[in-house]
Amino acid sequence: MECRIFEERLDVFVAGNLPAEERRAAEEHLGECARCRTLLSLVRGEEALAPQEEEGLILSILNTTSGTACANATLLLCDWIDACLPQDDCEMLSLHLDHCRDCRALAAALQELKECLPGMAEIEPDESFTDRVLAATVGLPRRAWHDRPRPDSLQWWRRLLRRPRFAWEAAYIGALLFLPALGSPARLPLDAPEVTQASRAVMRSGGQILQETAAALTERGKTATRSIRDLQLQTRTVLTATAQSQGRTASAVRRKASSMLDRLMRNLLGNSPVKERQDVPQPQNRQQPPPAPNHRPA
Amino acid sequence: MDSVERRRKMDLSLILNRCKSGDALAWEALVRRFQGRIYGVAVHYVGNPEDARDLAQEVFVRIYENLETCTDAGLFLPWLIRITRNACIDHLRRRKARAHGKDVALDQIAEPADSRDTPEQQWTDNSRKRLIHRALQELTELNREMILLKEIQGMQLDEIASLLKVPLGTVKSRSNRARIELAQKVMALSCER
Repeated sequence: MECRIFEERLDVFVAGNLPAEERRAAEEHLGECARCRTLLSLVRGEEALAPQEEEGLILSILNTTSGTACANATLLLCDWIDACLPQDDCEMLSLHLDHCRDCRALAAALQELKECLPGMAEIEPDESFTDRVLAATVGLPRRAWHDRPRPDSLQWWRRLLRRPRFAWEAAYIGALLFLPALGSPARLPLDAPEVTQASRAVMRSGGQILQETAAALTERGKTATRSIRDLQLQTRTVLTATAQSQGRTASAVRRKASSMLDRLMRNLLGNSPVKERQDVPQPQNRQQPPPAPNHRPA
Repeated sequence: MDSVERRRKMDLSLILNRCKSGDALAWEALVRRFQGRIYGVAVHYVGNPEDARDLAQEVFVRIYENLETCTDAGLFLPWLIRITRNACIDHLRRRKARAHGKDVALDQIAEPADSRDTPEQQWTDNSRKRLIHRALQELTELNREMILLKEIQGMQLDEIASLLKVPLGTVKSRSNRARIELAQKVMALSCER
């Protein structure tokens, strides 16, 4: 029998429940192996460990399980020094201190500090100090509790401005005021109500311009090359495609639509100047944007 | 009975009442009783004996002016320490060197000599205090203040919580951490010697 197998069956062997064949093999192994004999005597309680070996054994057990208890003991040391630790904790901590040199030294240092520190509360100044204080307070007016100076509003504001976090607070309040006033800088989705509403407004004004332009041209005796209905349909197609492909905001869609309408009108009239309307805002940027991928000029 | 013990045995509420009524003798007794305490707090905060002396004098002027506002003798010491702390912090802000105070030369500071101690005992005590003072200077500002208020000045936890405007539990845990850190520093410095 090998030592490893003997260690595994040791409990059963000690309890006397090992089968006869294995028991015989274990006894033969014990006759040959001094280490396993020592182990058996330790388990049976016939032999005690030496103190150093016992400490080593406890340390190895702690290291492989919970770790040393020094951190927990340190947390309790102050209350232990102040004698306000519960009895149970007190006994366990005392047991730990009996065996841990580092914690014992720390406890001794804490105890010494507890005795020394109160003695450092008072440091006497030189002899002339009292005379100077008495001279400085002679004839000084004394304020009653209701005469305490109240800070005026100007001082309050100055103190507020001097605070280090004032800049952060001002930036936060400014952001809170800025967002509702000017709107979020994030892009609106294409199906947002604002985008839909703006697109409809553009369609209506575009259709109205085309109708009035066609009427004006008819009055002058010229004939439009396409019907107004075809132009309206094409305008709607171009605007929708542009908005979907570029994901613009409501204002961008409006600008885009204006430039598209302008371009359509130029194509319609054969690059002849369009009569400017006073009631319709003209696009500020005359530079033509690149056409959408599926855009065909009329 | 020496003068230190005589000062301590006088009834504080009686002294305060007589100070409020304008008794110069009572005011002198009050100054003599608390000058060591105020000067000690100031030294620990600003780390410079000259500045601490000026600050302690300024604190006494403030106390004199506002004595009427202190109605309870039991709250006098916390009030005193609060005024001293505020004055020291104002001073340090003005000096823009709050993070690290200069090392205090304890030899320059006159300490009360206890006539009961032998010279050897006094020397041992002073060297031990120097060691503790060096260890204190190595602590963080927060831990040093906690040690000063609780362990040195003996303030209660709730008084410190009110003074520093932090929860009571935080004061207790910080105080314990500061004590452990100070003890470890003292042990390390003792080993260096």
